[in-house]
Amino acid sequence: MGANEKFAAIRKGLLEFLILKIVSADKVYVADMLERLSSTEFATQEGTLYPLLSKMRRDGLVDYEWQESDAGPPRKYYELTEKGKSQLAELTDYWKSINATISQLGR
Amino acid sequence: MQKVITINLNGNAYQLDETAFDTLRAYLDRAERQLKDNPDRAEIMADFEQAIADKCRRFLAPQKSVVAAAEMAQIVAEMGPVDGGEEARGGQDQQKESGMGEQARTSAAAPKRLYRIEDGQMFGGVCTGLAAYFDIDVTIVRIIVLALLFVTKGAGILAYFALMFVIPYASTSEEHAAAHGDPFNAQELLDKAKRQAEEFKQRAEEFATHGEWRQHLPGHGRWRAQQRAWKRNLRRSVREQAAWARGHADWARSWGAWVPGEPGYATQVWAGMLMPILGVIGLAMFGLLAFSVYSLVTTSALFGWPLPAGIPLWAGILILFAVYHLVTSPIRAARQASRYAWGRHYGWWALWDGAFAIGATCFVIWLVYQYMPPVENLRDFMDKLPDAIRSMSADFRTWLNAVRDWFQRVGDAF
Repeated sequence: MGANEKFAAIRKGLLEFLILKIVSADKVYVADMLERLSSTEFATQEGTLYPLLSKMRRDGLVDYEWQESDAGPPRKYYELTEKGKSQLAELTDYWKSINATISQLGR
Repeated sequence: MQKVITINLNGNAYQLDETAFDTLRAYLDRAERQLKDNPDRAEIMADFEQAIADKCRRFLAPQKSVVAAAEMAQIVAEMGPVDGGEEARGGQDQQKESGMGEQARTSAAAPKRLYRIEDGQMFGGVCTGLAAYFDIDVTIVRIIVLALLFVTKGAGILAYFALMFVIPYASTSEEHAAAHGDPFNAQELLDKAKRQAEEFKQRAEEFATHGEWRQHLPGHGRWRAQQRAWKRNLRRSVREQAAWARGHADWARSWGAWVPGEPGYATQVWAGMLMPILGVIGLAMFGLLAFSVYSLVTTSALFGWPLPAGIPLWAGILILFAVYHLVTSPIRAARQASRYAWGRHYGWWALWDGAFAIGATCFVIWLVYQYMPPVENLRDFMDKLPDAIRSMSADFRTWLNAVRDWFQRVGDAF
């Protein structure tokens, strides 16, 4: 098993965190999110993303509004809620502390 | 060249060819199943449809209005498998931890039930059904059945008819899969139907190139029946998929039509078993009615009970009819219900029920003719009945012994 497979579970777990980061930058729709992730190691698919976003919406972290688009039907634009912003701050701190731990271990 | 199917993706119409439609249908079915426990299922499915519609538009152009199979395959691959969420993931982990091998799971999940099968049947589909259940060739099953018939000196035909009543026909694709013991899911079914249709197409080409003189060979009739069976299978699979997609039964119910629910296997077997029993009880009730009316008319008394004063004869007869109607109403209700259990094959039910009624009546008449001496009146009949029954059972026992001896001789020979 290469590094790719070993870290697969970790990447899956980090996806929610990354979505929060992407949405916090500006309002995005799903195709946008997929496009931004597609060039990274976290490339994912609609089949994974839509259920995840709906779960995050049920948890109150994100919300969407319909926006008319010039080419085609209206789309959902996602943005962070207050709860989502505080959750993002929490996760970012936690991530920094994990990072520090990993860097220090095994010196 | 393929047929074009127009579908509705989140409010807009798109045209797909047949194979693309099948692929998309299978993907959406699987997604629906994965999201079974998800509270946002409807919304996520709508989002999927929208995403698929966006992807379809990429492949369409002013001069290209149909999404092809290869393009749909690419779209579905891009969409990726549907992650049901925590509930689905939790369920999957549980499955892995339960320690059951995946093979054990699939064989436990795929039921194997005895059905009668219409394709290739000669009479009632009993032999084809048995052949599918035991995975033996139909001809061998028929030989065994004929041998048993011979052994029991023709009385085995009753067993055959009993099986015909009790075992239900396999009508839906799900029932056909259960008849052979195959696991049932939309994709496998479509694959199988498509394989058969392709085989049939290949053979059709071969046949055409070998010329029409083969039409007059004896095998041709069987081959045409096979052709029809394959075509019917494929059409049925596609039709069922379309009907499922439209939710036909729900639609009918929504405008108030009464649609009987899909009868399960146990229901159909039970209905089949009840048919002769209820038929016999019904006939017995009718016989009792006829007898009562006869007794009342000829002796002005019902089996020795005189009519109460003041009630004329015609009133007594009407009362008898009313009582008969009341007593048989549960039986008649059960028979009505049994009819629906056979669903599409209701015509056959009616035929066999009538045939059984006639047969049972003839049998009773024959018994009476054989064993009952002439009687004067009711008292005489009751006196002579026990002897008649005794001689009947004696003869029956002799016949049973003859059959047992035959089996023993066969056993000794081996």
